[in-house]
Amino acid sequence: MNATQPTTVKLLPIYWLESKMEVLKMWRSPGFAISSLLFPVMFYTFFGLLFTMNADNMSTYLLATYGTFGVIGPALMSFGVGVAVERGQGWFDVKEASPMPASAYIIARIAVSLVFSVAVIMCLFTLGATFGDVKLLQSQWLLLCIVLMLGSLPFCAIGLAMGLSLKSNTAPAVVNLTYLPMSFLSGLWVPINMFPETMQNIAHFLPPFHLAQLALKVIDMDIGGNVWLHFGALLAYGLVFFALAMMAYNKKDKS
Amino acid sequence: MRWGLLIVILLTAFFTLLPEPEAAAQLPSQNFVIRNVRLFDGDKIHPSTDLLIEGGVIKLIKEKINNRRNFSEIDGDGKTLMPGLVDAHAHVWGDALTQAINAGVTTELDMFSMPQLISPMQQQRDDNKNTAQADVFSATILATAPNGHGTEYGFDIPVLTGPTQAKDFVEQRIKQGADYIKIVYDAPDSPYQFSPSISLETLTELVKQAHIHNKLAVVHIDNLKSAKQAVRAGVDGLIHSFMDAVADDELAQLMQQNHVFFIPTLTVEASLAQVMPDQSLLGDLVLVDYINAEQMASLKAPFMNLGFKPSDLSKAKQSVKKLHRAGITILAGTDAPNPGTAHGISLHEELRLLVEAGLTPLQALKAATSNSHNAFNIGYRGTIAINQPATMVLVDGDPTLDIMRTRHITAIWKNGQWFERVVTKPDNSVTPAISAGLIADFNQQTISTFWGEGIEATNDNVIGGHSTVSVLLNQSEGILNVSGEVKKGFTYPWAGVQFFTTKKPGQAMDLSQLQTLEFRAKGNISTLYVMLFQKGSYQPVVQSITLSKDWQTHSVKLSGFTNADLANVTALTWVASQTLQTFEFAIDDIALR
Repeated sequence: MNATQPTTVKLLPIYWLESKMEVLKMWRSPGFAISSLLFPVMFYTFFGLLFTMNADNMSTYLLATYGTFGVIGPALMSFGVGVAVERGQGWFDVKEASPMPASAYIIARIAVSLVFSVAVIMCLFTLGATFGDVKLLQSQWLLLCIVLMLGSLPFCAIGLAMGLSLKSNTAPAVVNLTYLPMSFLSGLWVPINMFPETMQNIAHFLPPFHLAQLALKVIDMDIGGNVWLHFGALLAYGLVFFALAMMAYNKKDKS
Repeated sequence: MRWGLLIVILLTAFFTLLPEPEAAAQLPSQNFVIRNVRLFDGDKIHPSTDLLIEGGVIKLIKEKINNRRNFSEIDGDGKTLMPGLVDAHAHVWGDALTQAINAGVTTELDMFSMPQLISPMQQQRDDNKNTAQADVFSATILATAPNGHGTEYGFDIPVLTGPTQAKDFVEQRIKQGADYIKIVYDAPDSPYQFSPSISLETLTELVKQAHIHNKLAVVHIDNLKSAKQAVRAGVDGLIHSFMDAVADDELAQLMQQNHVFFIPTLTVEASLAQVMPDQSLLGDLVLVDYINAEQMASLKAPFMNLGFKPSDLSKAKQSVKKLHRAGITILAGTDAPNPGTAHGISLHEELRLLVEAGLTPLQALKAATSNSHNAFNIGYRGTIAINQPATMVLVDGDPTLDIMRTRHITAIWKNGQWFERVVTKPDNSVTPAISAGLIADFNQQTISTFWGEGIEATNDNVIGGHSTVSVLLNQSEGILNVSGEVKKGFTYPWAGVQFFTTKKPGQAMDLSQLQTLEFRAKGNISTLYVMLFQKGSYQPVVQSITLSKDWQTHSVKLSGFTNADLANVTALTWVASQTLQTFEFAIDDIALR
């Protein structure tokens, strides 16, 4: 009892401190902060507010899908690119050698991802409410925000797996080449039912599709799939990629 | 940690400030969910879906809608939801628009009305509180030649004598609120020459002017030759199928190339060919409660015999088949309330006839919904889609397979408001049956009758005609002298005397126990028309007798008033009609036996 208690007491401040520093670091690297905030906001402004094809419903629909787009971005970037770059710089090895627990490293990055998610969501909500005439019940606004934030966790796992497997110089390109086409094919940019049938079928295998459907379910605009199916799919993706990340981490240790 | 608190406060404030939907409580009945219904959206069939209607607007169409605000739910299982039907050819006045919606027809395209009558109705169509009547679009006054078709209704309308007047005519119509331009055309060498027509040059110029002002030009034709010339002149749509010949490849090709749509109006063609409305319409127990007396009388009224035979109708149908097969867009229109047709109800008959002509039930439904939506500039009407007013009809069964199911209406909504259909109840206000006896013998000091509300002069002035009449009681002889002139003005001009059985609104006399109407008469005209009026209808049932210069006793069989409801008689008239002439006749000893 006496041996374990002091460590648990000290763990929280470590998490808090590491998270705070990590957020501050990311905030100060404009390449990350601007791209993860700017892209969803810009796209939503163009496609969800300015060039909507049919009035207010489009703005509401796309708020959920660009919200999805907005939260998976920081998750993939913070982990995928962040980890790979720090590995390349040797900073990852320094951290590993430090007495800080490995969990703090992961939690700090999750914190970064969530902080940016909230920022993106607030920007999008403000835009949609102000210029897109989006009106939702209080419970729907909150639930949408929570679904999107929790829904970003599997993408943290995907990002982590990528960050641990990819080389630092190729990581940004590979992550972006995964992030953008996957978003499009999952119906985050244009509603899924505008796709041809085969493309709609492909979407069912992509994780952002399932998160988008959960988000759309909150506003009653999903295609009518089962909640648990979408949830299960996201959970499965999260677990598989976390396992892959662990494998990549162990392999790195041995080499 | 102060930062943490600040963030929490900021987030709470942010989420409290986000806008919520307006309280939908003001219009409770305009918020509802329809479950598991077969949806025909005007174009496609969705075998089973839910719809959410909020504030009269369709907000969601998808399976398994989460009804989180507990709107009332309607079970659509086994039923089909379709757009409110569009009648692409009607003439609207009186309570046409209420008769229409009562049969699920929520939009009527008027093809000739006086602007001062139609314009108030046109203005109501964009008001979403206008939920108890159909919406109307109108051509206002049609374009025709002096004495041409359209001038016979007694309205003083502008006519065209040449192409130079086209520009002014079209601009005037648009100023008066025309939504499209309707033209009457008949080729100079066509097989029928019922009335004078504008020239081809005038037609071409009218179409050109309509297009300059971004309006559609639709043309009334009654034969193949005129149809081809009209299509070549650039018109957007042809009105009426024709019975002189079946449409040929040339017409089909011309219409294809010029994307011309076709409103065959088979219902009125049938009436013109002296085919009575199908028993399925008049005798249908599903429908009969929703047909009022005026509609029923209009449905039963025979069309003036212009020489068409019942067999001619098959040509009109074959033309529809031919043009439909060639890919020409067919629009369902009735030409109500011409004799043999009635607002609303007749569109169901038109759909049946279109299917008989060779359209599938689904194609016929499109003809009454999305085809009109696509052809005419009528907004969302004729479709069901998200973010538009919920104007729709729920029917029992599947009309996309069996067109007769359109008549099994279980609900009608206009702008999301449920429309309570008007039921024509069996009327108990009829006074006891009249027994046999004298109506008038004209031996009193004044023109009086033994029962009823007396005899007085009648002529077509009430409907815009110009006929004259004077009635004089000849006390010495004890007879009634009637004289005057039948003049041009109204289509069916008349002048004579009228006996009112009652004048109380909504009342009628029951003559069903009687056999004949007897009277003595003489006159300088050969034909005297005896007309019987029924409650709720302006259209009389007519019999004619031959007059001679000497007194004769005439006996008119009441059963000879075809299809008249003898239990509901409001008036009997003796008039000179049809032929334009001066007349003089005398009448005496009127009795019912």
